Amino acid sequence: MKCLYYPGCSQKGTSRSYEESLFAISSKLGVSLHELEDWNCCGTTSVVAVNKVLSLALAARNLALAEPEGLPLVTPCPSCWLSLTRANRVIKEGGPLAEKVRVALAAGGLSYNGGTVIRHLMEFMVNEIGLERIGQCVSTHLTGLRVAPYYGCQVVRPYAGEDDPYDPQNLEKLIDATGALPVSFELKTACCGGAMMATRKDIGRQMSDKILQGARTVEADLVVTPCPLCQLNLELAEYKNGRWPWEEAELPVLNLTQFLGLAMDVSPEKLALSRSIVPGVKRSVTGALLQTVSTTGE
Amino acid sequence: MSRRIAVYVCHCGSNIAGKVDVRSVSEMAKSLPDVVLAKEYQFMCSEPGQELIRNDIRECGLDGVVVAACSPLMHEGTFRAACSSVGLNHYLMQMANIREQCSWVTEDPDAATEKAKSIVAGAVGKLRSLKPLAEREVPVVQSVLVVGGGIAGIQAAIQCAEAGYKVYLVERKQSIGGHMAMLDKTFPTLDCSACILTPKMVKVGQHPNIRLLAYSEVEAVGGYAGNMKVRIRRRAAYVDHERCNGCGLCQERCPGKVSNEFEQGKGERRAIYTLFPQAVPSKPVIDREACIYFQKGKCRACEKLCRQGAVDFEQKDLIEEIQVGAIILATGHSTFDARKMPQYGYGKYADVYTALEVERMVNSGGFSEGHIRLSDGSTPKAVAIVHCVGSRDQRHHPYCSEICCMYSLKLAHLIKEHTDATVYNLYIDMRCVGKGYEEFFDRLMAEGVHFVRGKVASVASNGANGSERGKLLVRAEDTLAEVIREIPVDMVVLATALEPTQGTEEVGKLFGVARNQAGFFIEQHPKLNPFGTSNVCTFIAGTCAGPKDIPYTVSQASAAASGAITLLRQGKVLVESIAARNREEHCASCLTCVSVCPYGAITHEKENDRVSVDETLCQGCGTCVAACPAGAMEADNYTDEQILEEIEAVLSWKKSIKTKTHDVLKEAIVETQSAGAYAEKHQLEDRDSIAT
Amino acid sequence: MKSKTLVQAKEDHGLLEEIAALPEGERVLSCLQCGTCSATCPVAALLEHSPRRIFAMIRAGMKEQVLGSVTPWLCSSCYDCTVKCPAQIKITEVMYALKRRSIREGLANQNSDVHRFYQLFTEIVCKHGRIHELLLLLKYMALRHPLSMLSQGPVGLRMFGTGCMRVQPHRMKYRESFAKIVDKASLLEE
Ligand SMILES: Cc1cc2nc3c(=O)[nH]c(=O)nc-3n(C[C@H](O)[C@H](O)[C@H](O)COP(=O)(O)OP(=O)(O)OC[C@H]3O[C@@H](n4cnc5c(N)ncnc54)[C@H](O)[C@@H]3O)c2cc1C
Ligand code: SF4
Ligand code: SF4
Repeated sequence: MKCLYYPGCSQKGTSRSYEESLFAISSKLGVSLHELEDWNCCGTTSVVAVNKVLSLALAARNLALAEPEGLPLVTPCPSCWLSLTRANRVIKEGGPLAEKVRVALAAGGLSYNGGTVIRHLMEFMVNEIGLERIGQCVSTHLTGLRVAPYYGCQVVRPYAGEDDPYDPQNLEKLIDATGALPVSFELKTACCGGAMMATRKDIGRQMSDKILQGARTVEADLVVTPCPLCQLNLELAEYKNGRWPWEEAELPVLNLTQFLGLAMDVSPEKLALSRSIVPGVKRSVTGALLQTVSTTGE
Repeated sequence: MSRRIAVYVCHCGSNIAGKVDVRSVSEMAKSLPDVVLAKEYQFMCSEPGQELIRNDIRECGLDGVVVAACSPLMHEGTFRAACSSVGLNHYLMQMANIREQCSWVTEDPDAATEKAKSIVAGAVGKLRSLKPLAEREVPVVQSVLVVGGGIAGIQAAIQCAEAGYKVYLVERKQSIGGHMAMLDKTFPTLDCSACILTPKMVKVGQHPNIRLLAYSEVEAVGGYAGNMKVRIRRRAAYVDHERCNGCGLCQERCPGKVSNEFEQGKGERRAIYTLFPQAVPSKPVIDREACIYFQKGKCRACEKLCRQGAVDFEQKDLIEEIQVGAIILATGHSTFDARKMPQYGYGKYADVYTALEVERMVNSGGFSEGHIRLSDGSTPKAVAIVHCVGSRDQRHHPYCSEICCMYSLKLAHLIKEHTDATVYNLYIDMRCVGKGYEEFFDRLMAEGVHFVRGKVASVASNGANGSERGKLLVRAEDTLAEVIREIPVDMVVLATALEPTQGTEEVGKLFGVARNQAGFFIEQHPKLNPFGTSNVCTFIAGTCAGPKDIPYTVSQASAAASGAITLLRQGKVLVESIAARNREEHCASCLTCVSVCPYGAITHEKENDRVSVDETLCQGCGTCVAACPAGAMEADNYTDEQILEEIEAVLSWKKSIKTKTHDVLKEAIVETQSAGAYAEKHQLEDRDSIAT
Repeated sequence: MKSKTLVQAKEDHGLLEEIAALPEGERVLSCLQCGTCSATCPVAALLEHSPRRIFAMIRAGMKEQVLGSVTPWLCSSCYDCTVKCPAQIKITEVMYALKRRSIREGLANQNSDVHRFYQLFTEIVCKHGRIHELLLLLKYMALRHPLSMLSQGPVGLRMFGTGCMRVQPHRMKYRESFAKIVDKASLLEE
């Protein structure tokens, strides 16, 4: 299956582990990802706070670049997915804003007719690649591993697609496909406060702490998320009072693709586990795996 | 044939004249063919306005009148009567609706004026070819059908019966009573619901003029105004109700158990069951789905126990046909499915209840015998009542359900009385409009019930903590104290919205009664005829027409009953003379018309292969006219020629102004018929200017 | 707020009408003041004005106070309120609109520099096409309180160590076309 890949800035920066692990499993899944040439930042939640037309034009430029390829544009980042989807809707609906965006694109010699289909990686895996295919790729069943699905906000709000915005199930389905036990918790779609990481860490911290705690109350062995920002932010939240948690206290937070890779026997190096900023994640994750594997006798 | 037509343009105060230049409309009218005079007047519907018409008809020998005013729904009757009182056949009066379809919905005054002119030109064009038709009167059958046996249906049935008319009361459940039978106490007086309802139910059961058809549904409606033929399916109860004496022995040993819908799914009932102890009729029915015999082929325990030999597994549905002159719809409401708002945790947390469940809980005849208990059997210490669940919410029902504030107050009082718990009411606005209602609110505040102004955002569980039972955390902004409150409670009560009961759509279609956006039946006029419908023989009562409490339901039911009684007393109704006619020379006898006619008015005589329309049965609905592939069917005053003439008139007026009025207007009107499109055009221009 | 008395003529600058005229503002006039947004908002407890109150203040014509408030800037864009608001107001989008307006009208709260972060972000994107997290953070911290950089030291070092922070900024291929789009779009802002 061929598709266009829109990485988004995080993928090339703070979330290289997400991208690396995605590429490590994509061949197993039979997906070939072609990075969109000369893509630019989607504008995310920041540019729209300064200039709306600019934010839409930034997103629309990517859509315009993708359109002639005629392939679905898959992105692993919920925030990018939302920005691109929103711009797509505005343009398709027409009206003065769409017109302004059209004019801006035209200034750069581009045009966009609403033909690009934008998909988020998680939903793409469930609905396009299919749970069956993913199940077939699983070589180590993670039976007994308790995995907390953490969605973050923007992959379910304001557009939830086919999934239930209040109680989405896509992550659970993917976790289940590995044989691990999805342990849902109340805050699985709550905001981690990532947007405030740089500006008001005090507030952001309170929010991410709650989520980590929520995952701990359901006795999760690890947290899995489809959002690069959440992944980083939750990891950062484990740094407390000037130190990283001791081994037992730490709660590994993995990118969705890293987690799936574990069940597909992709090496920890290829999954970029050592890129986790919480020290020792690689060790504890592989440790936990060994444990589940030995107790289930596989 | 040339006509002598007069055009009257109404100002309707500023309703029309505020937007439309009425003078120029009437000036224009004078130039239309066959128009001999045109006038404008402040209020055409007023007595002097009508006199104006009568006078002109007499003095100028008019043979056609166009009144350019409001919707025919409002005053067609008025002007028809004015014309016929001085001898002008009322079919030669045409209304041109320049209010609802023009001045009220068109923003630009110039566009509105031009549109009004087109409408008037069209009406004149149509009138020129209209024929006078004879009025028809048909007798009204002296009996009434009431559909739905809630308090509305009960009230209406009793009233019609007392007035001496035969009443058929059709109820789809096996007992009448509706929602009121489920309630414990009723606001604001707190009298026991059953105590005031059951005497009325008994009366229905005993009244010689009422034929109660419970466990039945209307399947088809035919006939015509004043003489409707209604087909009713009487579902098989598998118990011969003639023989059954209602002793209840059969139910004791029945092994088929399912959840009890009367108790809102809490508690169980048997496969052979009566709805509740005071049910009317009090005879049981067998629920096929739950019955072991029907499902597995063995059991028949009830049959063995019944001393009357009333159980009859072979019973079949019965079809009964009745004829009635008036119909009262009283199919009531159901309540919003709280699962649609997952943030409130209904179905997820055992101690989140709907208000109706709590009604059954506090009712001593209910599933917990009147004890307010949590799922673990303990008594709640703190309870939150969440208002507006599904009401006043654009995602669900934008309307206010009107009664929830009041029943929430009632439940708050009852919960406090039964358990002494701390009770919170979380509301957006308290709506306590009614006699004694505000006083009831005041009483509740004095009783120490807490009121928090804020819509609940979420109900979450804080989980069990050691030996302590988990609490439910209710989150809302206290918008008056301006703090966000997280209130730990043991029990949450959801005040769910009222919505039309399931099946309302089908009932509306069967009886030809329109429904509003929310699905409730629409009244003929919201103020002046809130119990009638656009069909003169059909009335509506109770919550099927919108949320309301018992006092209001009963008032509307009484009004509907008097509407029906008045109609029956008059003994006859005027029916449209417009009827369809088959032009035999074009007819190919394909019989499409026979199959589409909703009134069964078309017959096919085999012997001479002739298709003909029975004028007394034909309602002039035009279905056959539209369906006839050969164009042989034609309706009086709606012939193709007449309609073309009307369209021609609308268009020719536009053509003529194209050459008269100045450029901008001209273009706008030629290109765009409605003012909406006119506005859009201007927007497009704006858009172009952005781009440059 | 110092004075509790609002002198209408002086305060009313038509903010409500302005917001209502925007595509995202179509339903603001229908706010029920129910507080669902505030009680849903993960940051509301820490805000000077809850989202609901912001809507009340917009209605009251308290333009300076609304645009000078940090509430819109602290909105985390989680859209939770947007999916729950019974009036179907696009609250999160309105928050963006308020942010834009506060910058444009020069009313952004000067004691707080959250808005500067968003401006820096936009500047970097306009210049490089993509965001460069390191550059953004360094610039923002320098502007804010240079000393805070020290406190971030261990985390920052760790981030370099794992290689999750890139040092090289990205170079665009079709620079000129991109710059033209950016320039035109900036001119066309509402
Ligand atoms: C929780 C709650 C508490 C309340 N408390 C109070 C209170 O304290 N005081 C007060 O004044 N009001 C109260 N009400 C409102 C009150 O219940 C209604 O005003 C009243 O029941 C309306 O009566 P109705 O006959 O219109 O409808 P319903 O009671 O709904 O009766 C309709 C009947 O029609 C039957 N039916 C439906 N469709 C068909 C069909 N197609 N064919 C044949 N039969 C059909 C139904 O089976 C039912 O028997 C409360 C409502 C609720 C939900
Ligand atoms: S949730 Fe919507 S209606 Fe309620 S206060 Fe907030 S903005 Fe207003
Ligand atoms: S979108 Fe903003 S205002 Fe709305 S709940 Fe989230 S943080 Fe609060």
